[in-house]
Amino acid sequence: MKYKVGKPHYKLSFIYSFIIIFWAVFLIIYSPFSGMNICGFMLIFLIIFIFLPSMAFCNNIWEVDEYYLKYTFYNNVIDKSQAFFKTIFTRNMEYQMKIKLDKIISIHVTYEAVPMLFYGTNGYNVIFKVLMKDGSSFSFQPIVTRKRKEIIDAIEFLKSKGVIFKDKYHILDQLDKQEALSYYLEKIHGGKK
Amino acid sequence: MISIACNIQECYFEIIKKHFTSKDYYLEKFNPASYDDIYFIEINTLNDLDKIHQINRYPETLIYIIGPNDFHLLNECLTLGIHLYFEKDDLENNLHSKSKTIHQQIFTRFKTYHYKNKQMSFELRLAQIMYVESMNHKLVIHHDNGDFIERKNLSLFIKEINSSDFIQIHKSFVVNKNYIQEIKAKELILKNSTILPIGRNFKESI
Repeated sequence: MKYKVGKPHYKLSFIYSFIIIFWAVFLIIYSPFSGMNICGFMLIFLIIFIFLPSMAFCNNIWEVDEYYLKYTFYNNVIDKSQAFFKTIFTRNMEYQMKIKLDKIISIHVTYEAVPMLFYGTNGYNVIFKVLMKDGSSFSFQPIVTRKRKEIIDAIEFLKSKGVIFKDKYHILDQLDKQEALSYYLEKIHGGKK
Repeated sequence: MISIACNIQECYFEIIKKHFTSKDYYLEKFNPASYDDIYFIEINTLNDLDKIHQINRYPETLIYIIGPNDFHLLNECLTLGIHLYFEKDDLENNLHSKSKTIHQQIFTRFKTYHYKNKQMSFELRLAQIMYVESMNHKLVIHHDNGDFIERKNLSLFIKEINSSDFIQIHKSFVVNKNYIQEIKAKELILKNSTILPIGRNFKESI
C-alpha cells in the first residue's frame, strides 16, 4: 500500500504546450517576416525541452509506502528535464530522498515565514523536520496540493507505521478545516511576535 | 542534531543541561532501547559498571562517566572504553575545564554532510554513509537511512567531506572504510553484501 501526495502535471503541461506549438507551427508555415520560421523552430525547442518539463515538475512530490518515505523537488531546469523524459520513457519516478521508516524517531511539524516582496507581507510554508535515530535530519515542505485528503491520508499512514508526529503549533489539526492554513499560520506567527 | 542520554541523578542532569544549551543538542533520560550519540552515566560502585554494557553504541558513540574520586573505579571504567571521566563532586568545573576536549571529540566524531535546495534539505551523518555512487552527473548517496540524490560531481563531494574514512575505489565510487567487509582483486564487498568494482587506477591506493 502506498500514498502519494502531489503528482507531475502531464495533462496540463501537454495542453499548454500544444497551444504554443500550434502558434510556432503557424509561424513556420506562414513566416510573416523573414527569419520568423527560425523563431518558430526555436520556440518548439524551448517548449519541448524547457517549458514542458518545468511545468510538469513544478511542485514537490512525496510518497509513503510500507518501508520508505520518498520525496522529490527538482530545483533546476536540467533536473526537471531529465526527470520528465526519464519518467515518460521508463514510467519510473526517481525520488531525491528515500528515507527508511524504521529509522525515523519523530517528525516535527513547524512552519517558516517567507517574505513576499511585491505584497509587503509574509507567506508561510509548512515544514516537516524528520529526525533520525543516528542523528541525521531532513526537512521538506509537505503541502503541495489543495487536495488536503492526500496529505491527511499519508500522515495517517505514517502514524500507523509508528512514526511520531510532534506538532506544537497544532498545524495538522488545521488540515481538515475549511479555514485557509496561511491565515492560521499568520495568527501563530503574530502571537509569537 | 546530537542526542545526549543521561543515566544520572536529577542534580547532575541540570548541570549538563546548562552546559549543552545549543539547539544542536537534544538531552533525554537514558532509554536502553534507543541509540544515542553521547551517554552520561553515573557510576558509584563496581556493580554500576553494568550500566555501560547496557548502552547501544555505534563505533563513534561517546561515553562519559560521572563518578567519585576513586582511582580503582576510574581504571575499571577505562578498560571498558569510556572517553572521559568526571568527578561528581566538582562536575561543573570539570565540564568547564574539559569543554574544549568535549567539543573536539564531538566535532571529529559527528561530522555531517549538508544539502539544501528551495524546498528540502538534509543533514547526513558521515559515519553512516556506506558508499557514494556517481551517475549521469549526479551523486547517489547510499546511507544507513536510505538513498539520496544530488547534482554534484564526485571530486567536489570528496573535497567537501574532507574525511580520511572515505576512499575512492573507482572513478564512480567512494566507499566508507568502516563498511568494507572484504577486498578482492577486482571487486570490493561491503558489510551489507553490496559488491562494488575496483578501478585499475585506484588499486594501489586501496
